[in-house]
Amino acid sequence: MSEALETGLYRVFRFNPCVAVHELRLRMRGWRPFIVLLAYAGIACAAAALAWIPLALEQHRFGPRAIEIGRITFAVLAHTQLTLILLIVPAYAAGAVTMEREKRTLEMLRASLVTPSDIVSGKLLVILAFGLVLLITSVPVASWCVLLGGVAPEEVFYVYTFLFAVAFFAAALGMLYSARMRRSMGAIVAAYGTLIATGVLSMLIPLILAQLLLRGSSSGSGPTLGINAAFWVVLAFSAVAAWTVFFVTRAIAARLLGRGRRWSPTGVGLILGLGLMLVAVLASGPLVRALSSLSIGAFVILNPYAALSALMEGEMASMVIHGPFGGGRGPTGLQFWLWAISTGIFVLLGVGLWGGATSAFSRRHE
Amino acid sequence: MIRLTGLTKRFGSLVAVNDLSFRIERGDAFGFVGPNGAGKTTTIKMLATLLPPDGGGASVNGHDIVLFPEAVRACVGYMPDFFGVYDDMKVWEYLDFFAAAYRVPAPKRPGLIGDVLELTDLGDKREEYVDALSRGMKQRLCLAKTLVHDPEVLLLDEPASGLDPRARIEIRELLQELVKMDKTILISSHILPELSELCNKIGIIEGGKLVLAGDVREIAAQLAGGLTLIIRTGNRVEEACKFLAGCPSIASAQLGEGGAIECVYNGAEGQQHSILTALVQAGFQVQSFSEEATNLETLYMRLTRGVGS
Repeated sequence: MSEALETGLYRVFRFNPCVAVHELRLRMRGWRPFIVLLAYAGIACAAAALAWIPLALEQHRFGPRAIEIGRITFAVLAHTQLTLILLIVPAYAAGAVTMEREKRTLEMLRASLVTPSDIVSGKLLVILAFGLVLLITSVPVASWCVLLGGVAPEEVFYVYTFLFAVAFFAAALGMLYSARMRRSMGAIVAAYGTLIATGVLSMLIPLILAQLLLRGSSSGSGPTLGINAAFWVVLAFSAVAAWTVFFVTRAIAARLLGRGRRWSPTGVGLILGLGLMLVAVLASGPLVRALSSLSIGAFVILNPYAALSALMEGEMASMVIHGPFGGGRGPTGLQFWLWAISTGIFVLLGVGLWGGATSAFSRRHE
Repeated sequence: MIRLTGLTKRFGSLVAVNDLSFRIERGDAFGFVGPNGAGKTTTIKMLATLLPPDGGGASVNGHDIVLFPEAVRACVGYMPDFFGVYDDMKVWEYLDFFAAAYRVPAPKRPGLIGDVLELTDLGDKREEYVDALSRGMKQRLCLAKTLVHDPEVLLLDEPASGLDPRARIEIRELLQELVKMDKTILISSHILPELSELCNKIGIIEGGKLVLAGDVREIAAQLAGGLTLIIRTGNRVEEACKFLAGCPSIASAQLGEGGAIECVYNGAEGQQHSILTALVQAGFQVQSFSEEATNLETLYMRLTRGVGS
């Protein structure tokens, strides 16, 4: 079975999974992963219990408020998990390549037939698998919140997939620094520093924009972006998308074209990436118009805590995306769109950082 | 099999390898000799496609190291001078990982791993954890890893450095086995007597430049120009040294360790006894008189003295 999988992965994707298998052996062996899993599940359970106990006592005194108890307990569980994921995953990823450099095992690996993509992707996939295992350990507690009432199973799905997208983003960010830097400590500090800076900036930008673009509220939900700002938002995100397309296309082209090629993979990636950006800008009219009525608060979805809060609170979701997507659909529709946008953004950023990490590794070593 | 033509590597203003050119044929065991910082490791890393050259070129098994690095890696086994091992990993897992890294098909791996473990005398350590092995065993394991994809060319950078005498002998025996297996080997080392037993060709490098390369015996015959005589006298040692230096068939004479006089004899073959007769007739009490054949170490010392420094 594993042989067939290995052969298939190589034939179809030109991906040698040996680094992933090796990482899986190393990461999941010994007492460390067990302790991390135990601590993760223990902290998540304790946080949920600490939220639930006073509410349950209050319910006993003042009558049934089961719906709020379930929602609040689940919100505390989700935010605790987000904190744990943001603490654990970047540290694991930032040490993935630098540890090999420090232990002097990387050179022999580089002298073999594994490619930079095999190394970076293999390590990233295993960190993601570990992140998934961490998230799965708390699913029983989330199920208990559903049983308490007030939390729909779809909401559990939204929150867990969003948390996984954030884990992907954090892992890819850590991997980028790991590929670029010489020492693990430097890579870990840089990864945490970037996460904190991103979090702070994503909260400051809406405030600054609100001051700059204040033009009255729409439907009483705060200032909107306006046409100019919406255009720049589309331009910025199409640039991120083009960057991602560039890396993905270049990697695919490098493998498909082989050696002695007429076309440079970088050129192919550049043409497709810039082409996509051009198409996105040319066809951006309806999207710009739709986004122009978007609340400035939408920028907070770049902050994982704010995005998670908005995702779980119908009112916050309505405030963030009241205009183009959620109008008249009710909280569930808003939640869906907010989930799709915020999860999509973190996945997109993660893919871009993944490509950046592979590129940084190649540049450093080839 | 391995061809270097004007291979050059710079690190900033430092020229680590300068216009290096030599050839190693199939089945050769090539000893790469030179002092620390001479450029041996840099050259080996370029041949292993780990460092791009700044000038010139090289090919391994007909594949250019810059244009076809993957083809070069497929036919080369590289053993670095310093290497680490993974924690929490068994010996067979370590070899299985590298076999997979060289795309050895999964069904073939158990057999190959068994073979290289037998060859490196680690068969009974199969289930041991790698970090629990001794230094010598780790070195043999690294050599086993280098052989796991059955490469035609071996690039071995100081494979016996830092080992105790027993472990060094074990590694030397193992390398002799590989020579018998008709592998093409480029081996760098500071332990010259071991290289002289293993290699049929040598290259001496100093200050990034190749001082000399070729067949060990031919070079020794060309450069030795005579024998080294080791003479001990019971009295007037310094006077005896001066006396020898003045003899027409002695190229040079100097006081060596323990009061022995080392002199290079370039007179007629089989006439060394004339030196002994002259010493006795001059009244020196000769305690010992012996010949030392020019070995790789002597050759190395003569060739690298002062060059590049």
